[in-house]
Amino acid sequence: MTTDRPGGAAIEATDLVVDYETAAGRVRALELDHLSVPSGGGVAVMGPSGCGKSTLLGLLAALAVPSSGLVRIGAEAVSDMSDRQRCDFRRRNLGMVYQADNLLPHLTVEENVALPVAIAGVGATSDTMETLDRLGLGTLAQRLPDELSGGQRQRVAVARAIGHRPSVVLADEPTGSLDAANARGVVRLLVEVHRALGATLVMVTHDPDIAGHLERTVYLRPAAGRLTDASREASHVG
Amino acid sequence: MLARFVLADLLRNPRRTLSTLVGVALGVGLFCGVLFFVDGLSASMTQRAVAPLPIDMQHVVAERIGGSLLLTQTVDPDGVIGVGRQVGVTLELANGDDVAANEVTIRSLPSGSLSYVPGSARLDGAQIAGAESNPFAQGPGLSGLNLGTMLAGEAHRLEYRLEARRQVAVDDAARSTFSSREQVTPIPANRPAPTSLEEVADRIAALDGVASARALSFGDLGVGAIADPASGTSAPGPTRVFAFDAGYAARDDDIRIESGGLRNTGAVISAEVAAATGAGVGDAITVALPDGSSITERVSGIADLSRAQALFSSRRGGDLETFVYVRNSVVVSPTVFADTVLPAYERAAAAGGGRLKSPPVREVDIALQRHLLDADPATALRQTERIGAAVRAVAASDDNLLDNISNTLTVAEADAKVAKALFVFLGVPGGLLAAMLSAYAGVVLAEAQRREQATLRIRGAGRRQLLAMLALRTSVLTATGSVVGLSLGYLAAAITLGQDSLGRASAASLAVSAAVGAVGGFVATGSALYLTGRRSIDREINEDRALLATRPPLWRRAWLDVLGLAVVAVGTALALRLRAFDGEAGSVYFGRAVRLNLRLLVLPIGIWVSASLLSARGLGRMLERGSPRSAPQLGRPLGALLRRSVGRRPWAIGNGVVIVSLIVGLTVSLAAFTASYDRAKSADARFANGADFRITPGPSTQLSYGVGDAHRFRTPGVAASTPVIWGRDNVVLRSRRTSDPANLVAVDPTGFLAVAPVRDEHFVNGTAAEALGTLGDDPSAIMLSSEMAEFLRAKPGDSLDVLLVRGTDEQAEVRLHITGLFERLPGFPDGADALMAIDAHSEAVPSKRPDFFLAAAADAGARAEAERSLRGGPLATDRLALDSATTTLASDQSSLAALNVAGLVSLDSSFALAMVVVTIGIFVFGLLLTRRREYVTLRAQGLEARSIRLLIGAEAATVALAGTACGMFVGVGMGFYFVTVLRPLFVLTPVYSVPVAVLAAPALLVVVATLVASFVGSSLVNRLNPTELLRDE
Repeated sequence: MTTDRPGGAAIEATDLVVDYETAAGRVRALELDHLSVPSGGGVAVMGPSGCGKSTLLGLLAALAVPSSGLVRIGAEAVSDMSDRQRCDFRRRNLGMVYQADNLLPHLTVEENVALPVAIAGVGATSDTMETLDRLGLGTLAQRLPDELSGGQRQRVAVARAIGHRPSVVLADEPTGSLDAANARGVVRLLVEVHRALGATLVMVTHDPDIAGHLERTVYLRPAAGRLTDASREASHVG
Repeated sequence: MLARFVLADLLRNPRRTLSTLVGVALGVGLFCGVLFFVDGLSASMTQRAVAPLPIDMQHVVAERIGGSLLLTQTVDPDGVIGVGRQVGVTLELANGDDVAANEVTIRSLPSGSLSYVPGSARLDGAQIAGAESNPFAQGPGLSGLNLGTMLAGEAHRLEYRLEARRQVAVDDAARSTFSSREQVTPIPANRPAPTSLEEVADRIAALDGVASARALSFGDLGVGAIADPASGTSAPGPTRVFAFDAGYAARDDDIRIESGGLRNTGAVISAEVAAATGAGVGDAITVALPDGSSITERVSGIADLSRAQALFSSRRGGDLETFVYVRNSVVVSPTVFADTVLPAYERAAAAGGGRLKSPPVREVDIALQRHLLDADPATALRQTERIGAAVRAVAASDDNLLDNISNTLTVAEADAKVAKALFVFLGVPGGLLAAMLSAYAGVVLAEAQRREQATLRIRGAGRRQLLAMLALRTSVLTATGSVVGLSLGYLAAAITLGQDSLGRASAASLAVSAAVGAVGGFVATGSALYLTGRRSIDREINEDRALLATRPPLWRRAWLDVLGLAVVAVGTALALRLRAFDGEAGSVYFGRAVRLNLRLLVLPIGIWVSASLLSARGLGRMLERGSPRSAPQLGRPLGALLRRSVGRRPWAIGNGVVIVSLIVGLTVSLAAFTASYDRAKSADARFANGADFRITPGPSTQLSYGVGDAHRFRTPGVAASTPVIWGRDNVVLRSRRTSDPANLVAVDPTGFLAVAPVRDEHFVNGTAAEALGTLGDDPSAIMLSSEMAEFLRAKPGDSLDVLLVRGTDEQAEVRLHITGLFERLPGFPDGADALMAIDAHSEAVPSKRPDFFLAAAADAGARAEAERSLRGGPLATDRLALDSATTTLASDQSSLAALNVAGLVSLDSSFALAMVVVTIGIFVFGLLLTRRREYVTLRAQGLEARSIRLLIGAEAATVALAGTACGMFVGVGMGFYFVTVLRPLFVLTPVYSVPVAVLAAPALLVVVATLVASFVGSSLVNRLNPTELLRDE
């Protein structure tokens, strides 16, 4: 357990269960007893494919709600929010980085970074440029994403995730499509901004080296798959 | 394996599959629908073309008065004779008539293998003097032997011998003919004895395909030939005597027996004769015959023959359409005509040197079994020609057959070809749209499948496998779409035309249309889908992605729009210079179909495609210019995103705009064309009728209608009515140079101006109001047609002597002066040569009553009410004939006049509007497919669903509104070209009109489609799984 830092928001996830209805029946995608990340803390989430890492991140990102359980970020129980409230929460509090850069192809670098700022209704021109300069992207500000390399695009994605000063940054295998050098650079960047901003960082990764950059690593074991009430099996956080 | 994968892919992506499928089905449906429509329409062209014909065929007996000689040839021995053997030829000529034949000449030509035996020719047993050479074929001209006059009952026997130069069959030893002053055309020997008209009619009636064949005889008699012996009063004016039986009368509704009946004995007189002589049923009348004799008959009936086309249509070639009514007519029995009237003509002919100014006509009027005629005019024409040949074979070779039905079908056949070409051209844009819509769907589909293809490549799928999958997917989609489209097309054609009309089309033509439509649609839409998909496969993903944002589509880069417009401009200039837009109007009686230069239809299609592309290019430029420069601050996110999205990738919008513009353009152009077509046809019919209504007093009209009685027809809904005097050759015009019978029109200038659709362009050197004003002010004024003025070599200002109501007891000559010239007048399809004021006419001939009255409805909406009030008022109380613009249009024999253009346009428009909906749907779902990651990214960043819905809606609205605006602009231009190219379909120059409702309907539909598609589309965004989509590479 790390000490809370200003600027971040603590994350608490308790008794999370996510089930999906499929043609073959109900499938359990995630079963989690408890996860706690202090405000400003950094946690790497590891685990085998299919254990529910991305599902967990989706819940933390307020993009989905669990079948049961509670997700609390800061003082707010996001798992109990309506779709509109979660949207509003994401706008104000969250920054996200994914394996795919997900940059909007018709916006330039600076516009991609400025977009969350505009959506959140905060920040100023200087903030965007400051963020880009800090990440070494100032000279690429007016380029379109298709004019950038994969590493540059992912760095822009990081800049976009922090441009509006979120209290929580969520990263889902942000280095998955990069070579080792670029991967290291992006992780270093993420950790730097997480520390500089004091934002809470949760990063899903397969790579123990990358996980090692963060203060704590949690392992997620696969759920039991198709569940019955009698066969419920808890996942464990190590 | 591949097939399973492709099928699973199609089933798992129902929206994608369905949107493509619907696009293909609509395109193929439209194409097939047009083809089926043409089949159904062609199938009714025969019936429509022949419907107005009063007589299908007229077999006119050519046997002349005084020409009933009979020549018999015998040859002895018969069989085959050897070289040097001789054969005797005997010719017997008998005059079986009771009148003499003059200048009778016999000609006999030996066949090539036989030679005349010098000195062998004998006449009535005596050797013919100087017969060393053949006297029956003398000199270089091979002229025959002139026997001089043969008295009634006289006979001659002529003999000569021939010698064989080689072995020969003597069956055709000689070809012998005779001629006379009365019978100029040589008649061959051994011709069958003349048969009676009734016998010929019976033989013709027995032919296959003939419904009835009825004998009709008639002849013109002198002035005042019919008289009531009791009172001594005769009917003034020319007279005609007819002979036909009750069966003939029963077949023709226009022969109206008003009282009494047509019997085997007695005579039926026209109502005019009855009125003039005072004779009634049961009274005796005398008919003066051409030889000075007369017959007395008991009146068995009184008839109104004033509309009997079959009796009074001109029999002169080149003038067949003219209705030459003879008021004083009498109908006698065929027996009386054959036994008494015809011999009187023969005697008159003999007394006059064998010639009659107006010989009697004996004919068999034939009605065919029309229901047996093929629906297609070309096939029906072959049927009627076969029947015509059989009719000719029945009677003498010199008889004449007026094959009216074949003439009509010849025109209908040509009209059918024009109609098919016209309709295919009007339908071609539909086929093009099908391909374009498929290509558009293909582009959208290819973009959506880009990631899937990349995944498959990563998993080891090669280019060949991807192409095979594409081919399979395309085949399944287009084959299914074609089958659905085929059914849709048939259904649409059946609804538009009616199942009966479509059912008349032959199974073969429907099968051909189905094959052409389905295979054509399959190939066109399949190629479009396959080629766009293949292009996508051949590109690397990253390259494709980069091109998406920066590279405009091919049509934008190739300047096809500018090239197309240049071609249209040059084509238009050339067409104007060569007067190619003028074409040629059709005429059934001249056997001439409408001539359209269908190559010119390339122009509207050219302007349609190029202007749509140019509009999209212009819009693209505009959007690019409106795109903001890169900035580190965005302002309001929705507006910022929208401006950048449409400004930096305008070609996604442009592609959609092109398709919407093409569809709306087609709809607007066809609707504008139909509106102009309907309006022009209505104007044509109104012009031909003279006004909205024409009321004609008939011979059995009870009341007397004078010049001042026009007010009787001002019933509710009728704004004005006016009297008209008109008659064929009713005057003689005499200038200083020459004179000629002419058709004079006398009108009340003010009333005629108010009622008839007179046009300024039809008057030379002045407006219609000025010309008619002068007539009204100056009682000695007369106007001439330009043609008549040229014939008379007269000009405005010249004096003209006019013999009014010529050929009647009231005829009077007046001196008038020419005040102006005109080209044509409304209401006189048989022609008007001169125009004067009716008051001036009445002053000169007070007894002359108007021939008809013209009446105009208050406005177009009041026509129905006006017709009702006329029928319920004046027509209910008296026997008057009412013609309206509608009945005039219905009696137009041109099959093109009755083309169901509106039906085709409804069909085209329905499909086109459905395509608009599909296009908008494809655009919106295309956005969802290609940009779903963008939308979930925005959602992840906290942009509200409402904002995303607005973003999608705004882009779709840009496409819809810009496409609709461009389409309207393009459609108005395209419709103008359609009307200009199809100008020869109209008599009057059509006024191009674009009703506002025409513009509103597609616009409204596009807006509704956009709203619905945007709403459905954006609600689908909410159902996307952001967690999955965001982490996918």
